[in-house]
Amino acid sequence: MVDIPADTGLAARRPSRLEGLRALARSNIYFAIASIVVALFILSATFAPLVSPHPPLDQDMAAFMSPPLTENHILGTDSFGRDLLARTIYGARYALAIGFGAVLIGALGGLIVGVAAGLSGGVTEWALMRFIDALLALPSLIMAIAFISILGQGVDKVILAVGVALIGPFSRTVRADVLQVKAQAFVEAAGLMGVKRLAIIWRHILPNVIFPLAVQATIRVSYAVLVSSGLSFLGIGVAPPTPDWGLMIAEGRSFVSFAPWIAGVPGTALAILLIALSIVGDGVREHFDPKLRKQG
Amino acid sequence: MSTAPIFRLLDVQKAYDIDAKGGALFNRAKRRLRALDGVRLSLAPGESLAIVGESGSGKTTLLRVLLGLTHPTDGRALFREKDIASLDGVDRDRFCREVAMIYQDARGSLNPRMSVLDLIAEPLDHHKLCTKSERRDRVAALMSRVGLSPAMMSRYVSALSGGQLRRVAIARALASEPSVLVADEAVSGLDVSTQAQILKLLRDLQREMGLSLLFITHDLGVAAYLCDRIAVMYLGRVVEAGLTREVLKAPAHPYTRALLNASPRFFAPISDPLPGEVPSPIDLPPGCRFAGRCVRARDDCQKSEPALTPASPTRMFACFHPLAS
Amino acid sequence: MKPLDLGTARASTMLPAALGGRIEPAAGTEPLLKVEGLSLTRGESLILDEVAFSLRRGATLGLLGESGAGKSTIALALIGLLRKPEVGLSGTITLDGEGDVVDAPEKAWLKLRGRRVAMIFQDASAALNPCFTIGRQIMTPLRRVLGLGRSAARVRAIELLESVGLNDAPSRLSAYPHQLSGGMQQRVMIAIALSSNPDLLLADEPTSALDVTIQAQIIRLILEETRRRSASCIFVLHDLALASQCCDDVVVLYGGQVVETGPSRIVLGAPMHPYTQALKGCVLEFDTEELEPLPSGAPSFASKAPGCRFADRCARALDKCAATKPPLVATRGRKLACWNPLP
Repeated sequence: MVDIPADTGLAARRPSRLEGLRALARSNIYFAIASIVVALFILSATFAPLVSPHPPLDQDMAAFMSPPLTENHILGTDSFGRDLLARTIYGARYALAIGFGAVLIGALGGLIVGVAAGLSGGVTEWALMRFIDALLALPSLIMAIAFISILGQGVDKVILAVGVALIGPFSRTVRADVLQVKAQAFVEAAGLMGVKRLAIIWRHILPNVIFPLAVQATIRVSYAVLVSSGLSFLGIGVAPPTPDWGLMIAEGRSFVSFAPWIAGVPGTALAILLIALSIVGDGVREHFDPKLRKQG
Repeated sequence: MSTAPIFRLLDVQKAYDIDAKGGALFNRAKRRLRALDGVRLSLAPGESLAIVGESGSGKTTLLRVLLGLTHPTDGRALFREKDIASLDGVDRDRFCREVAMIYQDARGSLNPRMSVLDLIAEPLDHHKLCTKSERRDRVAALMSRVGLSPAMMSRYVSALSGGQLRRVAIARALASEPSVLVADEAVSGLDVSTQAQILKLLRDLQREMGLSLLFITHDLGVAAYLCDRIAVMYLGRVVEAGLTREVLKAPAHPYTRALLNASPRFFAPISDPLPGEVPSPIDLPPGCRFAGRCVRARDDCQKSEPALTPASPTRMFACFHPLAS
Repeated sequence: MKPLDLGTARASTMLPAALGGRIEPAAGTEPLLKVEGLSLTRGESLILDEVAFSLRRGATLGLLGESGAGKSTIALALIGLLRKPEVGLSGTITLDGEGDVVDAPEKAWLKLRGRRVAMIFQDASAALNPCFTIGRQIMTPLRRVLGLGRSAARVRAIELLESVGLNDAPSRLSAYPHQLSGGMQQRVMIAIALSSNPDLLLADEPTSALDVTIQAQIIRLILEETRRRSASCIFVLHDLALASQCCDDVVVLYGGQVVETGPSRIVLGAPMHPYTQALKGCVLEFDTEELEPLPSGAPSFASKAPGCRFADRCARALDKCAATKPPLVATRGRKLACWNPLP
């Protein structure tokens, strides 16, 4: 009778993602702080009507262009008398919605194109590779501008434009992952078992590609937020009077010498969010990537 | 159950064309790399055969031909007397079910996103060998058979040790109720104690279930323990084949003798090493491919290639001047 | 490389015992290397637990064990690649002429490495830099460590390559590592390691990645070259049969503890520790009928765990084995750490 080995003391189950991240937060203080900051932004954006002291579009002309720490307006008001804290909180909504929305579109599009490019061969692969090259040749901002000019302004158009601009980078990483997974022994083993090609893609290749893609997506959110703010700053993103940070910075540009807070408050908020998102994204990537290499 | 051989290789050749290096720009002369150069082999039902060779011997290519992953450029590779390269439909399904492979890289051959249960059940599901309700029980039975506690079924690859992964791979191979197990260096890279466990498991399984076993290895000790028959390969050809005990006790081919001498044995003095290295398989000179390194080579060895000739019903070798038995 | 004629050489004292010669240790000399009470901690784990052994000049020693036993860790500590503060290190490593080097600073190790202690690794293709030619990799230590000029270094490099059996040495100098086979790469690594005539060569699984016929060539090369320079050699091996062939003395490790040590003929010929016996039983000879594998398990490296780490897998374990660590005592020609050894 064959010996049944005792438990060798290895993990009873794969440690859940959350546990891993919690451990990461404990060891890296920056990651912990950054996660809290991002969480605060997300929470205040979600519960904006409850958190914000004023509605974002309310104009208090009596207190227009007041500096921060004025009574009733902690962060001051802009040239229309609108409370800056309120607009910043609501601006977080737009920033995060656009950021996550665009990344979702980009990741989905990148997944389709990348998987097709990685699995096809011959002329199809060549054509798809050239398509991806074309997408990558244009900087994301330029491409987003081009799409806006076709689609017009507005929050949904910005999401679409930035999203499409992100398809290029995503498809490149997805294709690389697909090629790597395709070469693994377990894919060949499934083929030897007689499993049909589509089943192999669905059961073996996709699950191993989705996860690295998700990690990539968390890193790219900050970039998407930056691009969309850039579009709004240039005046071709969302339309006024939407409380978008890029738009607010643009509006405050003319007053920067004597009322710097009008551009400063949204600018600072944007900077903080971007830094925090980058740190969180980096932490997630570092935490999962070495394991990805081992697993994938 | 027929007694026809399960696998038969008839003068199988697998050649690759290599572009000539360093030639003139328009010199399109191609050189041939013969990974397999006329291999003759068969595997009977219930038989265990070890294919032994070093790097460059062609054993990996041989395996790929047997599994249908690559097609021979000449000669025929047969599974149950049908060409492996042209199997399709019902025959192909039968082939996939009956031939189960155990990889050298056990960890790489198991999808890291699937639980042990799903990994072992994949052949069951694919070949529709049991109902949904029986699935768990079947997997548990397979796991016990290979010495794994069924409680581990919910685990993932990253939580298992090397030895446990090999067992999972073996359990998965057994799931399709195969008639042939093909293993490519299935125990290399393991600690000796784990290796001993896995080897014992494989031998017990093979004997109890009457499976045919084709085991590729570079280790003669493993071949001796596990397999009744052995085939020694050198540069794409079988140079000696026969019953393992006989071949290892009294090798006829000088290369087999050199392999024996080089295998570490307790307190034996370190052997006179085989001079030189394995030559490049591209553009081999005429004559016996081993002549360049053989201490017994004579003039006729450089002129023509010795064929694999049977010396007895169970023994054959390819040498003009074999060692005396 | 000419095959060595063992007939006439057997009686000669030129060869190490493994090749049929006899070593006569010079009377009254200090051992080249003496390791005492070497313990290594990494975080909470006690990776090495009071390892002790010594090495005579001109002798070969084998560090034996399975993966995780600590053999490579010891080798890295012996060449100063594992030091405080990355790891906690206690005990003594006494190199003849240098004193205790356990606490030696990096500056001191820079002088020792290459000159007195050299190391070759398992995977030569990973140990050689793929960006530089072989010539550059051999000549760099010759010029930096030995201070040779360019043309002198080139001449010496060619000599070294020829001495390790690489024919056509001048053209090899301009080759890149990937253009050589595994066996040839390993020879290059040996040439580099021996270029400054170290007293101690550490060989960490030097042949595990090579074919078995090349393995014999490389082992012989290492033995002959170290013998020629009157150097000592420590092999890190997992193959007991190979160790019996090429090592004068062996140290058997389990879970970072020395379980048995002594002349290889005695330890491997008539083992007294259950682990050594079990390991030996797992080695396949051509006529092995039955295998009796060890029960599964892995040693625990918890620093607080007392006792012999093999106790939970040992068929001969007594109650005291898990409670108290057996000391290493001299018994029947070897040193043994076991409360219930084989009779």
